[in-house]
Amino acid sequence: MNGAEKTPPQGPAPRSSEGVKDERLLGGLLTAGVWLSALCLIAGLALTELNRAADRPEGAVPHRLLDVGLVILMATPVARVLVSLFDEIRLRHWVFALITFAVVVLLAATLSVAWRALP
Amino acid sequence: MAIIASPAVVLIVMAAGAVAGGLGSLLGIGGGVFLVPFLNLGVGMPFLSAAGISLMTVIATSSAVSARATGRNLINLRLGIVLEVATVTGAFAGGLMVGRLTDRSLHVLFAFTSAAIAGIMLTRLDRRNVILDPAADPGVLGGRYYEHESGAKVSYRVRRLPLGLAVSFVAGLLSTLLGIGGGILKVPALNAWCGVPMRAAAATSAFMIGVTAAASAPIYYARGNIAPELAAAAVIGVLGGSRAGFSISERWRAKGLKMLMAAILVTVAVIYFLR
Repeated sequence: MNGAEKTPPQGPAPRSSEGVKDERLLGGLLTAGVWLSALCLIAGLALTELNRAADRPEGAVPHRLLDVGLVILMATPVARVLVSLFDEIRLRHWVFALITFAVVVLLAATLSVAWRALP
Repeated sequence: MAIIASPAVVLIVMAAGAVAGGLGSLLGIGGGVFLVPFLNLGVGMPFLSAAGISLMTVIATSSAVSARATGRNLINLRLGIVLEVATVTGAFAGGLMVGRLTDRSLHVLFAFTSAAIAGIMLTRLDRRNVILDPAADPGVLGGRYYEHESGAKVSYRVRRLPLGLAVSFVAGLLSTLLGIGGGILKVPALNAWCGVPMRAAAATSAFMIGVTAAASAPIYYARGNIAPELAAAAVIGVLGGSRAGFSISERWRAKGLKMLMAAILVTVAVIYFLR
């Protein structure tokens, strides 16, 4: 457990610089998702409260904005798994492409459970 | 019992989100374990609504924290995706149980989990786990990053993957049922058992919890457990709070705070246990 572990034999070169590039792409995607969703949520919440304060009926727009904001929020991690999947396929890392695909299938399965739970 | 989203409640939920997000980033955990009992016991929301709203904030925290951490090679994308197979399977299993467990069993489960988290928080080990030779082969799942303390590139190898998968499955299941991120369970396990340095474990876990929660939040959402206004308030609060907490945490030592929070978690555990 200390720092001085024995050095294992050299294997295939790790993809460290590639990794950073992938990370930056994913970072951009996550930032965009968070901001977009936060903007929709702030706008939706502000409109809802303004309507309420002015004693106006609740409009459809604020509700839509809140829903869109939450859907973007939930979709962002799914999008980043899809990006990873395409990345592994592009690099022909089939084992990891398969593992990532398994995560996509599991996400699709939970979405179908959610879909059936819709009123 | 549904909670009416009056302006006062919206403000309270937003403030609670900010506090939970701030505490979360000060302590290096998600804020869900504080947010759920506050919304449930404090505001009086049904447990499922509190858990669903908290899961939304878990996704927001994960995306925001990971976006900040990218570009430093701390997030181990491959280890993350392998462990996600297990967390998302756990989340799927949990998703099938949502709405089928009694409040009593959820309370007891939350009591045990928050007591365990208090224990983990106080006794958390920090194993270094790094190979100082930057040319060392980190293996298929290991990684390599620039370590600030040693001012050099370091490598690490992943060991005992099955154990990591098992813990990730449990973390995914509890995440879905209780509305927490589950990082507090995965990070110590990855660090103590699987050979992953603390920072890489924390960054990888923070990256993973968004996908785990994205597998369960839609189920709560579709079932109508999540009031959009209150979820929006909580998400905005958590995003602001975690940002503030992040900048404070660079200057602050969190030891006393850790003791205080452990005490709060134990109290929450006792209250849930007695309910």
